[in-house]
Amino acid sequence: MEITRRQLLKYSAALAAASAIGLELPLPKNIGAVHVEKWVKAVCRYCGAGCGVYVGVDKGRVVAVQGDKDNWNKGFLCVKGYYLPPILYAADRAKYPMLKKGDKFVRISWKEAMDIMTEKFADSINKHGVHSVAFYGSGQAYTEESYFMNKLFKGGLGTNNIDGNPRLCMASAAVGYVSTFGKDEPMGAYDDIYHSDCFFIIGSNMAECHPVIFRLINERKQKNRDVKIIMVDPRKTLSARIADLHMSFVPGTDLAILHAMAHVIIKEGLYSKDYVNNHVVFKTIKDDKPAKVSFEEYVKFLEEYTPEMAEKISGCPKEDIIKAARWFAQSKATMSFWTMGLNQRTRGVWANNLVHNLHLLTGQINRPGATPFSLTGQPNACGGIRDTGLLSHLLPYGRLVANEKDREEMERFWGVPKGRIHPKPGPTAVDIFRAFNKGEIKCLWIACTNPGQSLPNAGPYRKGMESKDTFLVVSEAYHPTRTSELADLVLPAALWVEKDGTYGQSERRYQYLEKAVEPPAEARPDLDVMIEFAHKLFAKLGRAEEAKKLFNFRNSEDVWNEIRHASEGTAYDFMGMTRARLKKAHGIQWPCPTEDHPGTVRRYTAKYGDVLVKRFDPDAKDVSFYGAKADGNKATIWLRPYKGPAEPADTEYPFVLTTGRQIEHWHTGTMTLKVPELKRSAPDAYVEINPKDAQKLGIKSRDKVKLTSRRGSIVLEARVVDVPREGLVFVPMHYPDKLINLLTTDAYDALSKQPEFKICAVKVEKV
Amino acid sequence: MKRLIILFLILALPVIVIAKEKGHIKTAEDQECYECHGTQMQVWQDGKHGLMNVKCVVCHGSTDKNFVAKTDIYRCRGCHGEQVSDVEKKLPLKLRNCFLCHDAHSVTPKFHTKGGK
Repeated sequence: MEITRRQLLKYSAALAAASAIGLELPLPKNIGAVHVEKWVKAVCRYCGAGCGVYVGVDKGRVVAVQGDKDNWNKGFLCVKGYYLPPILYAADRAKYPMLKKGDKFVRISWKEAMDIMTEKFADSINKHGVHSVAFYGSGQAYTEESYFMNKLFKGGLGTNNIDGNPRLCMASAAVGYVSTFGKDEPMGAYDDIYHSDCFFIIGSNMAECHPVIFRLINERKQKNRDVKIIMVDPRKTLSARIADLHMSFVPGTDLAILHAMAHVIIKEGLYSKDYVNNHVVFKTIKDDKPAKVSFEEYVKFLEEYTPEMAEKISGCPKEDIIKAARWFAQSKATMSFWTMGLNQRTRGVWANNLVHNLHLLTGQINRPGATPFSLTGQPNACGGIRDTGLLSHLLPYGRLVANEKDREEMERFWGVPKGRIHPKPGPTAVDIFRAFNKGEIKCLWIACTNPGQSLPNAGPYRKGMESKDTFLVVSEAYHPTRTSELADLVLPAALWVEKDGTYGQSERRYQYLEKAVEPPAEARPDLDVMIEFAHKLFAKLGRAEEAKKLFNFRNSEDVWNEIRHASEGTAYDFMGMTRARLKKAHGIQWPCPTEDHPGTVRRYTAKYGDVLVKRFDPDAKDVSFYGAKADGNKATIWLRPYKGPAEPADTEYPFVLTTGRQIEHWHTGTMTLKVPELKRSAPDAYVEINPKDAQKLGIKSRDKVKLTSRRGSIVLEARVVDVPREGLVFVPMHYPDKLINLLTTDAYDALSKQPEFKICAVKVEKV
Repeated sequence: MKRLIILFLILALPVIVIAKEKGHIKTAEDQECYECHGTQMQVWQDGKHGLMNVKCVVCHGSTDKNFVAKTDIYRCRGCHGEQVSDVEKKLPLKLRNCFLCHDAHSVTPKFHTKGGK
């Protein structure tokens, strides 16, 4: 039926007339507005996309959520964001401090909890030194919370025994950015999607993991059919539905594909000589140290990486590699996206470098639509952990523990004695738990994360966490989780809009979340607990007066104001982001050095608005990688040799296991699995098997299948689908009663220390 | 002809709008929507909501007490707040139904689907 707008208006008028003449039109019973007293501006609690939301509050309860149309997401949400309110009212919300006595948890008061906790930590420090205590933080904590704990541990106690779960998800991206461009974080923004003509998406199932960003790409494609989308993934995921080219490959062999693309680009003269000459240096590793090489040496290095060679290693057809290389180089503007498929690898940093190489080689960078963009898994992994420096090798805002000048700068800023910050980077995520297993770390505080489920090769670490010889504190909004069940002390935490604070998402956009409702029962904001802990601990250590000066914060705004000053003069400079501005704005992107500065959409280019180019590199005409001063403000193309995964499939374990997300759930499911609608939609774990493999093994959908790796085994229901390539099986990571991380490997990248969750060898048997 | 169409719409309106709230039949926990609703799911999958993975649960809730047979406009507010507010302001309560104009599963406009203006 085809009807013009004019006719439609007439019909609408008729409908209205029907109503006006009193025609009774019974309506569905469920129609009716949810009554909302006020809408409070916030950000979605889940992934690193950082969708703006408004939270509807009625009678002190969150009753609705709607997307913020004035934010980058234009009002759109994914299914998880849509169902945010129920996460606050789950039956298993942690409401009271709980102490483990024998095998049971008993309720205690906050005073008792803080006394016990500070006594244990102080006792350990007095007997075994400051390196006997540790903190494991989260990319879901607010920036103020993470900054505070970083200051307490590194500036107050003088230990770098502090790391966060972003080590598990984006450390390789961070080290990739730093090693190529001199400073961490993407230079581009979601706005680039509107200007891009070619999307190179590798190791990312955006349709399920970052659906609202995927929506923007789809919209771009719908409006401009010439836009090309290249999807590089061993699974034909839902994201591949909009791809013009899907490149499947043997997991772990993508380094060969990326080199082969560079090979084609050079061989066919598709690289940008001007860009390379003006903005790029080339480096390799010689005698364990970075060494500069020439462009000609890079060309020679690439000679062996022919498309034929890459096809032989990866199984990806050479024709596809050539096509992808041409599209990448020849489009008006190419934008890359990647996530865990590149990051959770023993060669994760190298894989990141190789994507950057392609952008630098072709000059597909530093202009609208052309940029390499790492997607983030958690809502505040960028703003709260990477930027704030809550990783064992970092100090706030691009400073490094191993750099004496940076240490001195932070010591002066924090007003602590010279030499307080320990010069050696501390243990990273996996190594913190290894040290806890060995008893080298006696007291560990975990906040806002669930390593009992999310650590790779979780079995041994779970045993360590449960040990009676050490003391484990878990701050959580839910209890029990697969981590809090192992704790000695559980502290009930306020969740999401039950407290206020700042989140920083993937495109350097910092956003303030206003408190909308009270937390349940005795749950408290983590920041309040952290401040109280710091004062009580220092009092027990005989340093009460020092604590008064160091931790003189009344609320999150006080902490935020110190944070802004910590960024002043750095490449992150966001002095202009006052709390008052953030309350009004729909996020602001750093750098934002002054209160009248609108924020920076694109970094490293003066032409497109980065005012810091002039500050750090006054002679630059436009592009300057001012974080890479030692290289003349140039970026680096790295010569990284091909290397496969730590544990490829073999005759004994002939399949590769990879893990990941479903759209309905997020991380360890502590939140999304409490939402009845999401739970009903995706109720249980399963294993995806390629139909050809299933046929060989006599497996049908819904059969019980046992997966066994060198570390553990699990029985799951089979889903025979043409999604994973032959030889690959996929299991979602969300389900607490099906701990797939009992099977994954804790082998990690030598540079980023990020574990290779994405690839381990398993055998598959029908049960 | 136009009068006939208007008359038809007036008479058909109760049929269009009337919908009884129905519970969902009991399902096994792992039963998937497509097993019984394959046709609707195909339409959904080929439409905008399908491409963007706006899954069944967004509009229909769970299959337990949270099940919603016919979606009201307030369910659309999560992503289409502005449009819902517009409908709220401009249409009487009885006509506040997104699916008078949009197909329920493909979500394409019912009328000018071939580029009408």
